[in-house]
Amino acid sequence: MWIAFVCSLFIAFGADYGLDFAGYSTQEKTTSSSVRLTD
Amino acid sequence: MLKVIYAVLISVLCASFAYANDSQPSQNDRASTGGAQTLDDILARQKGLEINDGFRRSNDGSQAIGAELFNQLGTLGGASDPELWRALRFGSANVSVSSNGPAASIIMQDSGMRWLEFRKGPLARTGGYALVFVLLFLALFYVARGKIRIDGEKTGRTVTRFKAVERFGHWLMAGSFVLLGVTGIITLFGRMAIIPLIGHEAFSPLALASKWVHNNVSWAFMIGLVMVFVMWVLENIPNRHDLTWIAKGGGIFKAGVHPPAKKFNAGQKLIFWSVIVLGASISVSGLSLLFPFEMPLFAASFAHLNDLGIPNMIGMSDLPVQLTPHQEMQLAQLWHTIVAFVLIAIILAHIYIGSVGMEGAFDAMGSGEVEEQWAREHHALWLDEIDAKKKQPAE
Repeated sequence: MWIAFVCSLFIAFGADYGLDFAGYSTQEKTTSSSVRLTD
Repeated sequence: MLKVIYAVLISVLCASFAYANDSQPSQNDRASTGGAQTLDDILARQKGLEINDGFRRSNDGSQAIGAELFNQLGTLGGASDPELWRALRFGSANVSVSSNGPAASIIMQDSGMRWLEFRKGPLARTGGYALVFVLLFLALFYVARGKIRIDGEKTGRTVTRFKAVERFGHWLMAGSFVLLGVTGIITLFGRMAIIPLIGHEAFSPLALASKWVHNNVSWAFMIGLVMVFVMWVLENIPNRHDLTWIAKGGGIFKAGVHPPAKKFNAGQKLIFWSVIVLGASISVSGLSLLFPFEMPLFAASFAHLNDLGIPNMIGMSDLPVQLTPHQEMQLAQLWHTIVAFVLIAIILAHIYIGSVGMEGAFDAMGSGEVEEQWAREHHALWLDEIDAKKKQPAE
């Protein structure tokens, strides 16, 4: 039971690192963009 | 006498001036902002006071009441264009954006407030009450029925019920589910229920940690879900014994009643299929939330439902198939939360029966070895299969 629990944390850290590496940060990051309105 | 009259007149005049000075200040003077709201309006709104919004409704952007261009709080020289803002709000404006992205051109979203009010109102309330009701029901059931004991005499021998890999798959999913459930509830109820208790400063790190755990442990849940499905799907296909089991109430309600069952009884099969179907659904909506605006789910789903005629069958008009990216995310969040509440309620009952509710049940998933008499009473057909396999090599 505890092995599975520890594994789930390993998977969590691995997923976080992997997604970050691939450019998909799951934490918020600021982005800037400008919006222009045309009539 | 005249002096007295003059004195009275002067005091009355002074008093009236004084009264004028001490009276309520004149209605909020919005001339300086050209009819737009003033600092007093903002402060009043922050205090939760009601303000008269008439000044906005009548502010039609005419040159006459527009403020000077150099006035910070005024309209742009009276050039406020309600038609433009209406078009932006309802998605009919022609917008070009310098940053590409599905949601980049949406400045205002009309249904956003309805979603927010529903999320923090009926959704949170109904879900919260449902979970409380389930907990109360289980407590009452325990008081009324007590722990379901092993009726016969224990043999002292054990049978292997679940192998190590089966237990690993179950606990990977179950442990993840508990973490996901707790962090999900913190995320939903945080602002309403936790911040008033512990304050913003304490809640902030809790919320950040909850978000990290929820987003990343979800992968472990999905892996566990796949493992559980692959390992147990064949043994969870319904058979005729399930009908007998259900007819006898599974022996849950009355002591001494033990309908036969194979490896999984009908109750366990209900749990299995609920977890698989709802778990898959919550995983898909969760992935949609994890990768915002990249996995719209609802426009296509609504189109399929409309084609099948299901909304009309229940007296509703066709579901909308043109959804803004924000609506898609909001619907994903609502669906994810609703399914989560249902799953948590089901799993609370599962945890109950697997722990305090039944003697000998936890051993199955704890050590994997169960008392033979327990197996005889609750999974007699499965025990017969095990015994038959043991005898075969001997023959």
